[in-house]
Amino acid sequence: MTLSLPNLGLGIGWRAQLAHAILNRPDIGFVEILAEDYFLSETIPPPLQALHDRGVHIIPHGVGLNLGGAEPIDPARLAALGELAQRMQAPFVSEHIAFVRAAGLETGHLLPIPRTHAMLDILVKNIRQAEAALPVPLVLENIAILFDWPNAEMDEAAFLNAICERTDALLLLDLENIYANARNLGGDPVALLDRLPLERVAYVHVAGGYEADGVFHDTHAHPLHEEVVALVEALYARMAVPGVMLERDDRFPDDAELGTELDAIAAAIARGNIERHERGFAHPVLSDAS
Amino acid sequence: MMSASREAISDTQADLVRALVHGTPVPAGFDEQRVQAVARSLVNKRRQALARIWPSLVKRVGDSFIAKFTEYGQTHPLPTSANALADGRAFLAWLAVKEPPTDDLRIEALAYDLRWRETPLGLCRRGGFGIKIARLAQSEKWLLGLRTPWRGDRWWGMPANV
Repeated sequence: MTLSLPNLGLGIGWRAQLAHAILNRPDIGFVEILAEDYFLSETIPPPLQALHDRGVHIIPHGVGLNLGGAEPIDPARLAALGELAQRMQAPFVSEHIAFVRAAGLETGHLLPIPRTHAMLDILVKNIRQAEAALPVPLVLENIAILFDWPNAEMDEAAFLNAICERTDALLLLDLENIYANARNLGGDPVALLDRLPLERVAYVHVAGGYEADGVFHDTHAHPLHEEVVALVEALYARMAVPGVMLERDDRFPDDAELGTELDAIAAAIARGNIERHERGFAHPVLSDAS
Repeated sequence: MMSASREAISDTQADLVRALVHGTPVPAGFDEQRVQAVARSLVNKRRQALARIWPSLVKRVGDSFIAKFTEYGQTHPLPTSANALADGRAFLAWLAVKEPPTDDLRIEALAYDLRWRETPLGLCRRGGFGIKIARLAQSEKWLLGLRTPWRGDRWWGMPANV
Protein backbone atom coordinates (compact mmCIF):
# COMPACT_ATOMS: atom_id res chain seq x y z
CA MET A 1 0.00 0.00 0.00
CA THR A 2 1.36 3.41 -0.95
CA LEU A 3 0.63 5.97 1.69
CA SER A 4 0.12 9.57 0.83
CA LEU A 5 -0.96 11.38 3.95
CA PRO A 6 -1.65 15.11 4.20
CA ASN A 7 0.69 17.13 6.36
CA LEU A 8 -1.49 18.05 9.34
CA GLY A 9 0.97 19.75 11.68
CA LEU A 10 -0.30 20.89 15.05
CA GLY A 11 -3.91 20.13 15.97
CA ILE A 12 -6.51 20.22 18.71
CA GLY A 13 -9.81 18.57 19.54
CA TRP A 14 -12.56 21.01 18.56
CA ARG A 15 -14.74 22.05 21.52
CA ALA A 16 -17.06 25.07 21.53
CA GLN A 17 -15.42 26.24 24.78
CA LEU A 18 -12.05 26.42 22.98
CA ALA A 19 -13.34 28.07 19.80
CA HIS A 20 -11.75 31.45 20.58
CA ALA A 21 -8.37 29.97 21.49
CA ILE A 22 -8.37 27.78 18.38
CA LEU A 23 -9.26 30.65 16.00
CA ASN A 24 -6.41 32.69 17.50
CA ARG A 25 -3.76 30.05 16.74
CA PRO A 26 -2.82 30.42 13.07
CA ASP A 27 -0.45 27.45 13.39
CA ILE A 28 -3.34 25.00 13.96
CA GLY A 29 -3.38 22.72 10.92
CA PHE A 30 -6.20 20.37 11.93
CA VAL A 31 -9.05 19.87 14.36
CA GLU A 32 -10.89 16.76 15.34
CA ILE A 33 -14.66 16.83 15.87
CA LEU A 34 -16.80 14.33 17.80
CA ALA A 35 -18.46 12.59 14.87
CA GLU A 36 -21.67 11.55 16.63
CA ASP A 37 -22.45 15.16 17.55
CA TYR A 38 -22.77 16.01 13.84
CA PHE A 39 -24.51 12.92 12.46
CA LEU A 40 -27.98 14.44 12.35
CA SER A 41 -27.20 18.02 11.38
CA GLU A 42 -26.84 18.99 7.77
CA THR A 43 -24.64 22.04 8.00
CA ILE A 44 -21.14 22.95 9.20
CA PRO A 45 -21.25 25.22 12.30
CA PRO A 46 -19.91 28.73 11.43
CA PRO A 47 -16.74 28.56 13.60
CA LEU A 48 -15.75 25.25 11.97
CA GLN A 49 -16.55 26.67 8.55
CA ALA A 50 -14.21 29.58 9.33
CA LEU A 51 -11.40 27.15 10.18
CA HIS A 52 -12.16 25.09 7.08
CA ASP A 53 -11.98 28.23 4.91
CA ARG A 54 -8.54 28.86 6.38
CA GLY A 55 -7.41 25.44 5.16
CA VAL A 56 -7.61 23.69 8.52
CA HIS A 57 -8.36 19.96 8.10
CA ILE A 58 -11.44 18.71 10.00
CA ILE A 59 -11.29 15.07 11.06
CA PRO A 60 -14.47 13.30 12.27
CA HIS A 61 -13.61 11.15 15.28
CA GLY A 62 -16.19 8.50 16.16
CA VAL A 63 -16.80 6.64 19.40
CA GLY A 64 -19.84 4.57 18.50
CA LEU A 65 -18.91 2.24 15.60
CA ASN A 66 -18.12 -0.58 18.04
CA LEU A 67 -15.38 -1.99 15.77
CA GLY A 68 -14.32 -4.34 18.56
CA GLY A 69 -17.83 -5.67 19.12
CA ALA A 70 -18.67 -9.26 18.25
CA GLU A 71 -21.47 -8.13 15.91
CA PRO A 72 -21.12 -6.60 12.43
CA ILE A 73 -21.05 -2.79 12.22
CA ASP A 74 -24.36 -0.92 11.94
CA PRO A 75 -24.55 0.26 8.29
CA ALA A 76 -26.53 3.37 9.32
CA ARG A 77 -23.64 4.54 11.53
CA LEU A 78 -21.14 3.87 8.76
CA ALA A 79 -23.27 5.82 6.29
CA ALA A 80 -23.56 8.75 8.73
CA LEU A 81 -19.79 8.76 9.32
CA GLY A 82 -19.09 8.63 5.59
CA GLU A 83 -21.51 11.49 4.86
CA LEU A 84 -19.93 13.57 7.61
CA ALA A 85 -16.46 12.97 6.17
CA GLN A 86 -17.66 14.24 2.80
CA ARG A 87 -19.45 17.25 4.30
CA MET A 88 -16.26 18.23 6.17
CA GLN A 89 -14.03 17.29 3.20
CA ALA A 90 -12.05 15.25 5.69
CA PRO A 91 -8.83 13.49 4.67
CA PHE A 92 -9.89 10.51 6.80
CA VAL A 93 -12.07 9.50 9.76
CA SER A 94 -10.91 7.94 13.01
CA GLU A 95 -12.36 5.44 15.45
CA HIS A 96 -11.18 3.24 18.30
CA ILE A 97 -9.90 -0.29 18.71
CA ALA A 98 -12.52 -0.99 21.35
CA PHE A 99 -16.08 -2.04 22.01
CA VAL A 100 -18.67 0.26 23.56
CA ARG A 101 -21.88 -1.79 23.69
CA ALA A 102 -23.05 -5.38 24.05
CA ALA A 103 -26.27 -7.17 24.96
CA GLY A 104 -28.20 -4.05 23.94
CA LEU A 105 -26.50 -1.95 26.62
CA GLU A 106 -24.60 1.26 25.85
CA THR A 107 -21.68 1.95 28.17
CA GLY A 108 -20.63 5.34 26.78
CA HIS A 109 -17.08 4.13 27.37
CA LEU A 110 -14.30 2.63 25.25
CA LEU A 111 -13.74 -0.89 26.55
CA PRO A 112 -10.78 -3.20 25.89
CA ILE A 113 -11.02 -6.19 23.58
CA PRO A 114 -9.11 -9.48 24.02
CA ARG A 115 -5.79 -9.61 22.16
CA THR A 116 -6.43 -13.07 20.74
CA HIS A 117 -6.44 -14.47 17.20
CA ALA A 118 -10.20 -15.07 17.41
CA MET A 119 -10.79 -11.41 18.31
CA LEU A 120 -8.39 -10.30 15.60
CA ASP A 121 -10.50 -12.18 13.01
CA ILE A 122 -13.67 -10.40 14.19
CA LEU A 123 -11.96 -7.00 14.33
CA VAL A 124 -10.41 -7.36 10.88
CA LYS A 125 -13.80 -8.31 9.43
CA ASN A 126 -15.42 -5.24 11.03
CA ILE A 127 -12.59 -2.92 9.88
CA ARG A 128 -12.87 -4.24 6.33
CA GLN A 129 -16.64 -3.72 6.41
CA ALA A 130 -16.07 -0.13 7.54
CA GLU A 131 -13.31 0.50 4.99
CA ALA A 132 -15.54 -0.78 2.17
CA ALA A 133 -18.35 1.60 3.18
CA LEU A 134 -16.32 4.74 3.95
CA PRO A 135 -15.34 7.27 1.27
CA VAL A 136 -12.04 8.08 3.05
CA PRO A 137 -9.37 6.00 4.86
CA LEU A 138 -10.13 4.74 8.36
CA VAL A 139 -7.68 5.61 11.16
CA LEU A 140 -7.67 3.48 14.32
CA GLU A 141 -6.80 4.63 17.82
CA ASN A 142 -5.25 2.62 20.65
CA ILE A 143 -7.28 3.13 23.85
CA ALA A 144 -6.41 3.61 27.51
CA ILE A 145 -7.48 0.68 29.65
CA LEU A 146 -7.68 0.16 33.39
CA PHE A 147 -8.09 -3.61 33.14
CA ASP A 148 -7.16 -6.18 30.54
CA TRP A 149 -8.73 -9.39 29.28
CA PRO A 150 -7.27 -12.66 30.55
CA ASN A 151 -5.49 -15.07 28.17
CA ALA A 152 -3.93 -12.52 25.79
CA GLU A 153 -2.14 -14.25 22.91
CA MET A 154 -0.34 -11.07 21.78
CA ASP A 155 0.95 -7.90 23.37
CA GLU A 156 -0.34 -4.51 22.17
CA ALA A 157 2.46 -3.97 19.64
CA ALA A 158 1.93 -7.39 18.05
CA PHE A 159 -1.83 -6.82 17.97
CA LEU A 160 -1.50 -3.41 16.28
CA ASN A 161 0.99 -4.82 13.78
CA ALA A 162 -1.39 -7.67 12.97
CA ILE A 163 -4.26 -5.21 12.37
CA CYS A 164 -2.06 -3.16 10.03
CA GLU A 165 -0.92 -6.27 8.14
CA ARG A 166 -4.44 -7.52 7.55
CA THR A 167 -6.25 -4.23 6.79
CA ASP A 168 -5.55 -0.90 5.10
CA ALA A 169 -6.20 0.96 8.34
CA LEU A 170 -3.96 3.80 9.46
CA LEU A 171 -3.08 4.45 13.10
CA LEU A 172 -4.08 7.24 15.43
CA LEU A 173 -1.38 6.82 18.02
CA ASP A 174 -2.56 8.08 21.40
CA LEU A 175 0.66 8.67 23.35
CA GLU A 176 -1.28 9.58 26.49
CA ASN A 177 -3.05 6.21 26.35
CA ILE A 178 0.26 4.40 25.88
CA TYR A 179 1.67 6.31 28.86
CA ALA A 180 -1.43 5.63 31.00
CA ASN A 181 -1.45 1.91 30.18
CA ALA A 182 2.26 1.63 31.01
CA ARG A 183 1.60 3.24 34.40
CA ASN A 184 -1.45 1.15 35.18
CA LEU A 185 -0.56 -2.20 33.64
CA GLY A 186 3.21 -2.02 33.13
CA GLY A 187 5.32 -1.77 29.98
CA ASP A 188 7.81 0.61 28.40
CA PRO A 189 6.20 3.26 26.12
CA VAL A 190 9.42 3.95 24.15
CA ALA A 191 10.06 0.23 23.59
CA LEU A 192 6.46 0.01 22.28
CA LEU A 193 7.14 2.87 19.81
CA ASP A 194 10.12 0.92 18.48
CA ARG A 195 7.88 -2.02 17.60
CA LEU A 196 4.98 -0.15 15.97
CA PRO A 197 4.56 0.37 12.21
CA LEU A 198 5.16 4.13 12.52
CA GLU A 199 4.84 4.66 8.76
CA ARG A 200 1.12 3.87 9.22
CA VAL A 201 0.57 6.64 11.79
CA ALA A 202 -1.83 9.28 10.41
CA TYR A 203 -1.74 11.46 13.51
CA VAL A 204 -1.15 11.48 17.23
CA HIS A 205 -3.20 12.32 20.34
CA VAL A 206 -1.78 13.79 23.54
CA ALA A 207 -3.76 14.78 26.61
CA GLY A 208 -3.53 15.18 30.36
CA GLY A 209 -4.64 12.96 33.20
CA TYR A 210 -4.18 12.50 36.92
CA GLU A 211 -3.50 9.77 39.44
CA ALA A 212 -5.97 8.80 42.17
CA ASP A 213 -5.79 5.78 44.48
CA GLY A 214 -2.80 4.38 42.61
CA VAL A 215 -4.59 4.47 39.24
CA PHE A 216 -3.75 6.91 36.46
CA HIS A 217 -6.89 8.30 34.83
CA ASP A 218 -6.83 9.52 31.27
CA THR A 219 -9.17 12.47 31.85
CA HIS A 220 -8.43 14.98 29.06
CA ALA A 221 -9.18 17.49 31.82
CA HIS A 222 -5.76 18.04 33.40
CA PRO A 223 -2.46 19.53 32.23
CA LEU A 224 -0.21 17.56 29.90
CA HIS A 225 2.44 15.43 31.60
CA GLU A 226 6.07 16.04 30.75
CA GLU A 227 6.48 12.31 30.10
CA VAL A 228 3.83 12.46 27.36
CA VAL A 229 5.49 15.49 25.75
CA ALA A 230 8.76 13.52 25.89
CA LEU A 231 7.04 10.69 24.00
CA VAL A 232 6.18 13.16 21.19
CA GLU A 233 9.89 13.95 20.96
CA ALA A 234 10.82 10.24 21.06
CA LEU A 235 8.31 9.53 18.29
CA TYR A 236 9.61 12.31 16.01
CA ALA A 237 13.18 11.20 16.71
CA ARG A 238 12.12 7.97 15.00
CA MET A 239 9.62 9.18 12.41
CA ALA A 240 8.10 12.45 11.25
CA VAL A 241 4.40 11.57 11.45
CA PRO A 242 1.83 13.88 9.79
CA GLY A 243 0.52 15.62 12.91
CA VAL A 244 0.01 15.79 16.67
CA MET A 245 -3.08 17.11 18.46
CA LEU A 246 -4.06 18.01 21.99
CA GLU A 247 -7.29 16.69 23.48
CA ARG A 248 -8.89 18.82 26.16
CA ASP A 249 -12.49 17.96 27.04
CA ASP A 250 -13.18 19.53 30.42
CA ARG A 251 -11.90 22.00 33.02
CA PHE A 252 -11.00 24.19 30.09
CA PRO A 253 -7.87 26.29 30.54
CA ASP A 254 -7.58 29.94 29.50
CA ASP A 255 -6.09 30.82 26.13
CA ALA A 256 -2.62 31.40 27.61
CA GLU A 257 -2.44 28.03 29.37
CA LEU A 258 -3.73 26.22 26.30
CA GLY A 259 -1.20 28.11 24.19
CA THR A 260 1.62 26.99 26.50
CA GLU A 261 0.62 23.35 26.04
CA LEU A 262 0.43 23.70 22.25
CA ASP A 263 3.83 25.41 22.28
CA ALA A 264 5.27 22.54 24.33
CA ILE A 265 4.00 20.03 21.75
CA ALA A 266 5.42 22.08 18.85
CA ALA A 267 8.77 22.34 20.65
CA ALA A 268 8.85 18.57 21.25
CA ILE A 269 8.19 17.98 17.54
CA ALA A 270 11.04 20.37 16.66
CA ARG A 271 13.45 18.65 19.10
CA GLY A 272 12.49 15.22 17.76
CA ASN A 273 13.04 16.37 14.18
CA ILE A 274 16.55 17.58 15.07
CA GLU A 275 17.39 14.32 16.84
CA ARG A 276 16.19 12.33 13.85
CA HIS A 277 18.28 14.34 11.41
CA GLU A 278 21.32 14.11 13.69
CA ARG A 279 20.95 10.35 13.92
CA GLY A 280 20.89 10.31 10.13
CA PHE A 281 21.03 6.82 8.78
CA ALA A 282 20.70 5.22 12.19
CA HIS A 283 16.93 5.65 11.83
CA PRO A 284 16.14 5.91 8.14
CA VAL A 285 13.04 7.97 7.50
CA LEU A 286 10.74 6.12 5.13
CA SER A 287 8.15 8.81 4.49
CA ASP A 288 9.04 12.18 5.81
CA ALA A 289 5.74 14.03 5.79
CA SER A 290 7.12 17.40 6.83
CA MET B 1 -24.31 -18.60 12.55
CA MET B 2 -21.65 -17.49 15.00
CA SER B 3 -18.45 -19.50 15.32
CA ALA B 4 -17.70 -20.89 18.77
CA SER B 5 -14.91 -18.36 19.38
CA ARG B 6 -17.03 -15.42 18.22
CA GLU B 7 -19.83 -16.62 20.47
CA ALA B 8 -17.48 -16.90 23.45
CA ILE B 9 -16.19 -13.35 22.90
CA SER B 10 -19.73 -12.07 22.43
CA ASP B 11 -20.84 -13.74 25.68
CA THR B 12 -17.92 -12.35 27.69
CA GLN B 13 -18.42 -8.84 26.25
CA ALA B 14 -22.08 -9.04 27.30
CA ASP B 15 -21.13 -10.28 30.80
CA LEU B 16 -18.56 -7.50 31.13
CA VAL B 17 -21.02 -4.80 30.06
CA ARG B 18 -23.67 -6.13 32.45
CA ALA B 19 -21.09 -6.09 35.26
CA LEU B 20 -20.26 -2.46 34.40
CA VAL B 21 -23.83 -1.24 33.92
CA HIS B 22 -25.93 -3.46 36.21
CA GLY B 23 -23.31 -4.44 38.80
CA THR B 24 -23.60 -8.18 38.07
CA PRO B 25 -20.56 -10.38 38.92
CA VAL B 26 -17.34 -9.55 37.04
CA PRO B 27 -16.51 -12.33 34.50
CA ALA B 28 -13.78 -14.80 35.55
CA GLY B 29 -10.19 -13.76 34.94
CA PHE B 30 -10.78 -9.98 35.01
CA ASP B 31 -9.39 -7.69 37.72
CA GLU B 32 -12.53 -7.31 39.84
CA GLN B 33 -11.44 -4.14 41.62
CA ARG B 34 -10.46 -2.36 38.42
CA VAL B 35 -13.69 -3.37 36.63
CA GLN B 36 -15.71 -2.05 39.58
CA ALA B 37 -13.67 1.17 39.55
CA VAL B 38 -14.58 1.61 35.87
CA ALA B 39 -18.25 0.89 36.68
CA ARG B 40 -18.24 3.72 39.22
CA SER B 41 -16.48 6.07 36.83
CA LEU B 42 -19.09 5.43 34.13
CA VAL B 43 -21.86 7.03 36.20
CA ASN B 44 -19.58 9.97 37.06
CA LYS B 45 -18.68 10.35 33.40
CA ARG B 46 -22.38 10.48 32.43
CA ARG B 47 -23.06 13.03 35.16
CA GLN B 48 -20.16 15.24 34.08
CA ALA B 49 -21.18 15.04 30.41
CA LEU B 50 -24.72 16.07 31.37
CA ALA B 51 -23.46 18.97 33.50
CA ARG B 52 -21.40 20.25 30.55
CA ILE B 53 -24.19 20.04 27.99
CA TRP B 54 -27.24 20.94 30.14
CA PRO B 55 -26.05 23.25 32.96
CA SER B 56 -29.52 24.73 33.61
CA LEU B 57 -30.85 21.27 34.49
CA VAL B 58 -28.07 20.79 37.05
CA LYS B 59 -28.73 24.21 38.55
CA ARG B 60 -32.46 23.60 38.83
CA VAL B 61 -32.11 20.17 40.44
CA GLY B 62 -29.93 21.92 43.00
CA ASP B 63 -27.52 20.67 45.64
CA SER B 64 -28.81 17.12 45.52
CA PHE B 65 -27.94 16.73 41.82
CA ILE B 66 -24.91 14.50 42.38
CA ALA B 67 -26.72 12.18 44.81
CA LYS B 68 -29.84 11.98 42.67
CA PHE B 69 -28.05 11.45 39.38
CA THR B 70 -25.84 8.78 40.94
CA GLU B 71 -28.93 6.90 42.17
CA TYR B 72 -30.52 7.19 38.72
CA GLY B 73 -27.31 6.26 36.87
CA GLN B 74 -26.69 3.14 38.94
CA THR B 75 -30.10 1.73 38.06
CA HIS B 76 -30.64 3.08 34.55
CA PRO B 77 -28.26 2.48 31.62
CA LEU B 78 -27.33 5.18 29.15
CA PRO B 79 -30.11 5.60 26.52
CA THR B 80 -29.43 3.79 23.25
CA SER B 81 -28.56 7.08 21.53
CA ALA B 82 -25.64 7.29 24.03
CA ASN B 83 -26.44 11.02 24.10
CA ALA B 84 -25.94 13.08 27.27
CA LEU B 85 -29.04 15.26 26.65
CA ALA B 86 -31.17 12.15 26.21
CA ASP B 87 -29.66 10.80 29.43
CA GLY B 88 -30.69 14.06 31.12
CA ARG B 89 -34.27 13.77 29.82
CA ALA B 90 -34.50 10.18 31.10
CA PHE B 91 -33.13 11.40 34.44
CA LEU B 92 -35.88 14.06 34.62
CA ALA B 93 -38.52 11.41 33.85
CA TRP B 94 -37.12 9.19 36.63
CA LEU B 95 -37.03 12.14 39.02
CA ALA B 96 -40.66 13.11 38.22
CA VAL B 97 -41.84 9.67 39.33
CA LYS B 98 -39.94 9.98 42.62
CA GLU B 99 -41.09 13.45 43.55
CA PRO B 100 -43.44 16.03 41.97
CA PRO B 101 -41.27 18.14 39.67
CA THR B 102 -40.82 21.84 40.29
CA ASP B 103 -42.09 24.19 37.60
CA ASP B 104 -38.50 24.87 36.59
CA LEU B 105 -37.78 21.20 35.98
CA ARG B 106 -41.04 20.72 34.06
CA ILE B 107 -40.04 23.64 31.81
CA GLU B 108 -36.62 22.04 31.20
CA ALA B 109 -38.29 18.74 30.23
CA LEU B 110 -40.89 20.43 27.99
CA ALA B 111 -38.24 22.50 26.23
CA TYR B 112 -36.31 19.30 25.46
CA ASP B 113 -39.47 17.55 24.22
CA LEU B 114 -40.38 20.43 21.92
CA ARG B 115 -36.91 20.53 20.40
CA TRP B 116 -35.45 17.01 20.29
CA ARG B 117 -36.28 13.58 19.00
CA GLU B 118 -34.10 10.65 20.05
CA THR B 119 -32.89 8.24 17.37
CA PRO B 120 -30.34 5.40 17.53
CA LEU B 121 -27.83 7.72 15.78
CA GLY B 122 -28.29 10.52 18.33
CA LEU B 123 -30.64 13.43 18.84
CA CYS B 124 -32.44 14.92 15.91
CA ARG B 125 -33.72 18.49 16.06
CA ARG B 126 -37.45 18.43 15.42
CA GLY B 127 -38.64 20.37 12.37
CA GLY B 128 -42.02 21.68 11.31
CA PHE B 129 -44.73 22.67 13.75
CA GLY B 130 -44.96 21.55 17.35
CA ILE B 131 -46.88 22.51 20.45
CA LYS B 132 -46.57 21.83 24.18
CA ILE B 133 -49.12 22.91 26.77
CA ALA B 134 -48.72 22.34 30.49
CA ARG B 135 -50.27 23.60 33.69
CA LEU B 136 -47.56 24.59 36.17
CA ALA B 137 -48.65 23.67 39.69
CA GLN B 138 -46.38 25.98 41.70
CA SER B 139 -46.86 29.23 39.82
CA GLU B 140 -50.47 28.41 38.80
CA LYS B 141 -49.76 29.25 35.21
CA TRP B 142 -50.42 27.71 31.85
CA LEU B 143 -47.33 27.25 29.75
CA LEU B 144 -47.52 27.22 25.97
CA GLY B 145 -44.61 26.24 23.76
CA LEU B 146 -44.84 26.60 20.01
CA ARG B 147 -42.36 25.45 17.38
CA THR B 148 -42.67 26.90 13.89
CA PRO B 149 -40.35 26.38 10.93
CA TRP B 150 -39.53 30.10 10.69
CA ARG B 151 -39.34 31.21 14.34
CA GLY B 152 -38.02 28.09 16.11
CA ASP B 153 -39.21 27.50 19.68
CA ARG B 154 -41.17 30.19 21.57
CA TRP B 155 -42.73 30.03 25.02
CA TRP B 156 -45.58 31.93 26.71
CA GLY B 157 -46.89 31.83 30.27
CA MET B 158 -50.47 32.68 31.27
CA PRO B 159 -52.12 32.81 34.72
CA ALA B 160 -54.19 29.64 35.18
CA ASN B 161 -56.98 31.23 37.23
CA VAL B 162 -58.36 33.46 34.49
